[in-house]
Amino acid sequence: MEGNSEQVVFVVDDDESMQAALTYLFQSMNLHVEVFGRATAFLESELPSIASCLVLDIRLPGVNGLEFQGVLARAGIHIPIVFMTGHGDIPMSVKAMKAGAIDFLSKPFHDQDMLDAVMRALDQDRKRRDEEKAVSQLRHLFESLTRREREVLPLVISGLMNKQIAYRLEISEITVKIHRGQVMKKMEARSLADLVRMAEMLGIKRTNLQE
Amino acid sequence: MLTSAFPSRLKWPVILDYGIACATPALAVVLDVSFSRLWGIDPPASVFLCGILIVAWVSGPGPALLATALTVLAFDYFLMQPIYSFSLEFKEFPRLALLTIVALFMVSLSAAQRRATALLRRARDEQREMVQELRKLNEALRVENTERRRADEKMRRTEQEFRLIADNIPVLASCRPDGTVDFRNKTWRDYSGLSRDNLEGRRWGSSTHPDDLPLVEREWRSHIATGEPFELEQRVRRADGEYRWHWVRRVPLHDDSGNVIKWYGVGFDIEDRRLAEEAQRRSEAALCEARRELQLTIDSIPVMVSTFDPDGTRSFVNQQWQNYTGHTQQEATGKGLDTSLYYHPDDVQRFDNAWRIAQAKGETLSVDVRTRRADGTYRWYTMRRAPLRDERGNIVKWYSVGIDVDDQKVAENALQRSEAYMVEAQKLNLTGSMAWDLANGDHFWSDETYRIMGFDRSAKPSMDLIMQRIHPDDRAQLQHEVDRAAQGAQIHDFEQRLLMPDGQIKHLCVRAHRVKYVSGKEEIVGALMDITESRKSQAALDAAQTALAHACRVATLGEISASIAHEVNQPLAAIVANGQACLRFLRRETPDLNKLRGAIEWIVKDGKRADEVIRRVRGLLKKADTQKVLFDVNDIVCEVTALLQRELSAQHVTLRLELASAMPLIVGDRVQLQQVIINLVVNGVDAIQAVMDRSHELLIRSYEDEAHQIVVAVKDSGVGIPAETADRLFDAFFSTKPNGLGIGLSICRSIIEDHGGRLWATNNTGEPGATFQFALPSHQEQAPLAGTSKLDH
Repeated sequence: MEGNSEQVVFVVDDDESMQAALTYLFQSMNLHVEVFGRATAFLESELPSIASCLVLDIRLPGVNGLEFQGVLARAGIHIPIVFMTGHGDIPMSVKAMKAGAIDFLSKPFHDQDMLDAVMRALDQDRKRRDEEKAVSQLRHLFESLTRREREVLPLVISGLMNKQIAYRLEISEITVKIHRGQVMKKMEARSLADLVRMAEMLGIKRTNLQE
Repeated sequence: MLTSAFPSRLKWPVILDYGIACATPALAVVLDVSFSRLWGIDPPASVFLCGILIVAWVSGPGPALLATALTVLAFDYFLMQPIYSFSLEFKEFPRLALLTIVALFMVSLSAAQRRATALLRRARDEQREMVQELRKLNEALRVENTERRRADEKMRRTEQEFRLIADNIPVLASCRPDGTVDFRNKTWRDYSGLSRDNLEGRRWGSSTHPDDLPLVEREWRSHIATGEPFELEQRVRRADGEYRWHWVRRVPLHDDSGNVIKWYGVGFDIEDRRLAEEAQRRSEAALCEARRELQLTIDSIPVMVSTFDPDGTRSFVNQQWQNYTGHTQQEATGKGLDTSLYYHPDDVQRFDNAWRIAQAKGETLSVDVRTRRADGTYRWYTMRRAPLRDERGNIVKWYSVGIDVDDQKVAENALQRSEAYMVEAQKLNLTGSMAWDLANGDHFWSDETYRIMGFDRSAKPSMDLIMQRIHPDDRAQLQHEVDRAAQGAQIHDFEQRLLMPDGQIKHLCVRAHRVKYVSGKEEIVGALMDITESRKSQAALDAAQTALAHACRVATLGEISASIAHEVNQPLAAIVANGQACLRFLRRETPDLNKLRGAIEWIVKDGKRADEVIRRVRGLLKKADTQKVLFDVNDIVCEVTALLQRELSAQHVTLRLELASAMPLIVGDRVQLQQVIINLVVNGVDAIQAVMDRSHELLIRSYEDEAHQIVVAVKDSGVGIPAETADRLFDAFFSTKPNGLGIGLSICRSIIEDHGGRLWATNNTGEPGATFQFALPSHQEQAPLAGTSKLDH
């Protein structure tokens, strides 16, 4: 068994020899490779929840690489993509990069470039996966909050004082103080700054103070 | 006495008598004056009296009376006092009176004497006449006497002769008043062979032809009654029994009281005359008929006939002449007629000159002249006038015929014109014509043929002459054609090269066929066309076509260059990737040899693949001349689709192939046919691009149709061909694409047609899209057509 089992490189290229070549190349880099002839086949396959990246040919039968990028994005599959093209052009590469591609390599490519790009992609994916893991832990913590505590949280991270929060929620300042302490404790936040960072990760927006 | 002395006095004219009467007194005056002047003698009156006397004697009493009067006056004037005046002195009166009386007396004497002389002369003349008459009477009596003697003699002789004649004249008979015969002469008897006894007392008729008997009887009866002489023509039997026509005249002899006392009849054998007459009548009738026929012929033959007197006066014209010109015989004949009446104004001068010359030389004239018809139109006539000569060689008549040659003339003109046209046309399209008489080997060449062959017009065309010019390499072929002609080939169609003396090579296209004339003569008639220039331009055109096709091919490849680049890049990228993988494997402490082998095998495979692609593209880009080879059309379909696969997938087009197996091979240029298929496929893909709502499909089919042609059809599911552009689809520079040059399909069509096939497009029936397809003859079908064309197998 070659390669790191914690990460995998997916290759989608309709060209058989290219499939073979990329397989050998990634194997020679000790990377785990999975090859698909068609984009749809990749879409249908079950993706492992380990760090992975996609090496995608721009020209594909049925649907082209850039479109497939859009398809994946819309499907919420955030796999980093390294594009390959027979003859890439600037508009195409810009478009790909803007849509979040890791790199855009024109064939034939230097093995190191491919390796770097793939490594970068895997790192990114690993990072993303780590982040996703942290967020899901936070979410778990966040779900343990009561309704009133969830109401207080955005106001706290907006920098309002307890008095102001009490006024807004029309409750007593003491109650606010209890809720606040409860939130800090439940979210395992060491400081307010910590709480603000967590709220950001959870995508909780600060309350607009003008309202 | 006086009269006898002057017998001729009476002949003088009276005026002379009176002249003498006047002259005499004048003379007397002169004498008297002379007397008195010369000799001094008193002038005597006697001189005057003498004068009067002479006048009376010579001229008679009248002039004498005048002389007397003049004398008295002269006397009074010249001799009586006063002299030179008519006045008279009284004393002179008696003298004058005396003179006058004497003179008058002398006059009266003269008159009396004259009267007496006249009486005497008359008496003498009467006497002389009487003597003359007596002498004549005497003479007449003597002549009468002689006559009578001679008549007696004659009568005697006549009677003898009558007997002789009566017996010798052809037929003679006499009859009594009632018609019974009483005499027949010897000739008659001998002629009829009947004896005298047999005839006596019988009526004429025993020898008459039975058919004529009633006529003779009738005539006899009527003329016996009237006593008139009569004549008959009747048949009389000869002794040998033959009836011959006789003319018989019967004359009655009357006595003094007018009664008929005898009939005399004479007959003449007129059989021969009758026969001759008959013959003459017949020949006259025949002559008449012949003349009528001749006239009819002359009038009805469709030529104008006229005759001329030697002086050129027209003397006769036939009916046709009159009908044509509208002039009658009277108008047309006679002296001094104006020829301009009959001939075209432009021809009159020429015709008259020719006629004058012909007349002068006595030669036959033959002139074409426009002759005026009655309605005023002019038609061409050939006028021939020939002289008729007598035995001495003098011209007695000119015969003229006019033959309508207008149609001929028109045809002749048309022929000349068309000949001129042909010469021009031949010059223009460099085509010469030629004919070869197979029997005698004579050649005929037109001007253009001479020009093409490069010979002078004076050269006599022959097969040797042709052979001189034929390119040495082509001589065998010409000989072959000549042999074919000798064997009776009907049609010749071949090309030849000429090697001109200056080294120039001419290409000829020769077409000929055998013509058999009514006369049995056979000729090879044909045309030869100088196609050197068209050959050159064809070659130039071919070159341009090839260049254009190449340009088009390059342009098409440009359109799909991305696909091609990908096609090349793909194996290259794979090779690079595999190579690098190999390097990485090798860098390991324990290289995985299996993986290495696998990667290297892929490298080799991809290297070959890249080479294949590059070779194909290079083939398409190569600017090569057309090379016809034998191949399977399916092969090139596969090659092309391999090249286009990437393009098709990039454009999301699904390609399907339905290629018939075991297809006959075709002959053609691979690259060109690949170009055609690429074009059709690219067009199909373009047509599909505009479609959003259905699947993008392209089908390439190949099959052999019922006409054994190889068909390749490219069927797309695109927008189809709009009706308004269908006609112009294959036109050059027509394009529906924004950047299209519009030469792709036009070149495809010319490529296919160059291969002897056809290219066409139709909209699909029952489903969207269009089908472009071409059909090519298979090698087996093409071979007999191609004939001698060389194939690079």
